[in-house]
Amino acid sequence: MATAAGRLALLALLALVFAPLGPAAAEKDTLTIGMPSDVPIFDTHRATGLYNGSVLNQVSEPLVLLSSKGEAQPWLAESWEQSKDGKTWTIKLRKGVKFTDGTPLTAEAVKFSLERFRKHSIGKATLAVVESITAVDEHTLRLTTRAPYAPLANTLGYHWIVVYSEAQIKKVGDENLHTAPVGSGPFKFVHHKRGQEVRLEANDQYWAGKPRLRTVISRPYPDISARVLALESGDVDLIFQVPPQEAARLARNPNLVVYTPPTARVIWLYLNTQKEVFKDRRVRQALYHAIDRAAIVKSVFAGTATPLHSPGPAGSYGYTETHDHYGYDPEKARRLLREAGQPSLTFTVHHTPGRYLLSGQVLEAIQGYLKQVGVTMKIMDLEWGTLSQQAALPVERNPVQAALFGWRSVNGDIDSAIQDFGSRFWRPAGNNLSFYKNEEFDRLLEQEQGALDAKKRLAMLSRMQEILMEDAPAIFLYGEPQIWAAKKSLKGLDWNPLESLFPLHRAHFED
Amino acid sequence: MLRLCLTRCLAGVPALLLVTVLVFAVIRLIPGDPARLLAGDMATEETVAELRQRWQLDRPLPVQYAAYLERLARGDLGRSTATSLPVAGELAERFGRTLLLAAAAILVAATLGVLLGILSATRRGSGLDVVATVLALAGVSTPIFWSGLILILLFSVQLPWLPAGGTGGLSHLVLPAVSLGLFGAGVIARQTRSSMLETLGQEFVRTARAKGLAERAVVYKHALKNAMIPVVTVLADQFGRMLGGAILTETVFSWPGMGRYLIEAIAMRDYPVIQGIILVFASSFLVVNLLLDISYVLLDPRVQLE
Repeated sequence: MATAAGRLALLALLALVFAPLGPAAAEKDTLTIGMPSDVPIFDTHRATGLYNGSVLNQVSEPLVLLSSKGEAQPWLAESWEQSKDGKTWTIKLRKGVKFTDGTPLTAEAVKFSLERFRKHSIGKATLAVVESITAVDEHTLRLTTRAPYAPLANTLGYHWIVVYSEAQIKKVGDENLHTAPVGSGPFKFVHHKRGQEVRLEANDQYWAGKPRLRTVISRPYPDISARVLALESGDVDLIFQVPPQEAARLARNPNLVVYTPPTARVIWLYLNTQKEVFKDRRVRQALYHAIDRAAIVKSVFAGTATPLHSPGPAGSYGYTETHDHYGYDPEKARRLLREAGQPSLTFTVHHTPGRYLLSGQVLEAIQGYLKQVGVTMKIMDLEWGTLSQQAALPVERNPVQAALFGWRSVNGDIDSAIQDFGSRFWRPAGNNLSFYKNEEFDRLLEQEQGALDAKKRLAMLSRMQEILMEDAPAIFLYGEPQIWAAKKSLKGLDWNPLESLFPLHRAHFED
Repeated sequence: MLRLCLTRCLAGVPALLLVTVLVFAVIRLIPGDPARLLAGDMATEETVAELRQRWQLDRPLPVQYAAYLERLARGDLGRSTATSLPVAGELAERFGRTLLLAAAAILVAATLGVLLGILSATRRGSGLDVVATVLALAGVSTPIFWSGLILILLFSVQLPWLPAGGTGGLSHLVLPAVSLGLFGAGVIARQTRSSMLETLGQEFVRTARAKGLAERAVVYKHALKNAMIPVVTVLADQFGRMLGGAILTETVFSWPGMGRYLIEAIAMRDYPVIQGIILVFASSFLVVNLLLDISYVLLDPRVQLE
């Protein structure tokens, strides 16, 4: 009898010990993400430098979400309308949305957050066109702009412009919001141990539906190989910025899956049109013909990048491929160079290794293509801090002949990608590193931003792309891929073109 | 001893002051503008100008330096330009983790290195000596980013025993400490071997053997203590370097210590952070050197410190 009881006790003990391994184990409900860098500060309005929308936007959300096609979709804002004169926007907010501290999301709260963004953010220039913000009633917001500005709705999808609880900001103090941010997102902030991890927990009252995951953790893995190994070892479930070569290997792993959603980051070879070597448009066109963009995408990026046929990004609002007449044609390139009197052109390209995905290999490929048409391109590698300062110098002192730069649209509208070729954006005032000036383009730029008729505006955007393709102030090379890899069991993910994850309330693990 | 500590600390003050001048000047001499780096893709001239003003980078350098020294005297290291958070808090946390990693790594390095060194010195020319020499050479010449990745591949991916990186419990410390320690062990093994060989050839060792002491006592009691001085010097030097942050190890193992902090700060030209880190680094070197001098006295009574 006693021994039977003893056996029973032993069995019970064994059952306890091995319980976690049995089939009764609970469904996995913690998502761990491996990111290239830590969130510098958990407050998008005060965020500076690199930062991570995928994690921050789970806590606080923007008014609109940008679709992968660059269209503004209703989110915290249910609808919006631009007035006849184009200068007033009436925004209807979604009703019944609450911040996770229980306070309601009202027009007043949104106004407070937008103004806070305009006060602190280093990206505040994105809303510089806004003149005033008024809360009309509890769920109606009115924005007036200095001039008609068509891309405003898209701009509100920029993931820095999010809404935080006003009550929480007042409670913890404006400067300390990053220690306990409160928004209306699918997850609530638990802690941010700097350099180690960000931890979020489910917001069961989330307006778009109760999240299926209980916990989201984000950890920085700055080394690419270490990040990939962390996924393979199972330390993390999802990683960002996978190199294309590794992506091909990971895709063969039956437990993993690789995603390459479209991105708004484009890579351009800027040509300084005020330098003697590039003054003649035919030289710039020759370079375009000499480089086989499709082959670079295929060989260097294993097909994961997207060739550009306009300044891009491909898929952004207003993007058109119809004006790209630059097939790979070395013979034509040689002829154009001869006509321009520069049959053996030599120039230097500035470049920061490691800043853009595989940019070194891309430049070497370009160097090879140019060699075939008699052009010598020297590559000068400079650390980013140094190059960014040199490239910012005004035209008479700017040493840069050509530079490989990446650039990301903030609002999914092609306007934000091409406006920098306006002559008033010459460096250092803006990002026109080509020091390009074209009067028709400048005029169209002013008109396009104020255009109220979407059709007319699209026609103007198309003409502007045509001018840029014709004049070639830069070689518009390709859209950089954003490559994520995840466990196959992880479902319900979606991305926006700004390289961040959509709200994760539908994400879950399947067996 | 106490007087020694006090005088050395006082003598350290001008040295540290010199360090502040040098660092302050050098980081401003190298090209790059923190305001422009921070403003990034969004850079408008207005934003850049506003940031420069916010951090008072628009003021003359001597004025900036005076303001920096004044804050420093009050124990204020300023705020990071990249995150706008106070430097001191984060620096303390990062230094703590670097100290932990360095201590663990030096433990691995000293244990392995000294053992290996003694073994190959006492069995000079034997197969064991050859194996130990090859091992030490491999330790010194294996790049850390490679050995680190191999360790992760073996012990995190193939055999899921240890985490692939990050921080947390003791298990997170094992791989980075071993990876960093193996490198140090190689250097220490070589030093121990040559120092031991020299000592074993000296008169007093022959005397010890002649009076009939067991070989074990001769080696470990008499010879080892005398051979230790150069070894301790190498150890201290390594430890001092590690306190500056083992950049490669910290990167591969996602260990948020001082090394990565410094790299990130330099990339962003985050002046207050760079100044803070270098100051801590310089101070810890002073402390390690002081400890080294004290250890000489303990090891060799003939050494006088006054």
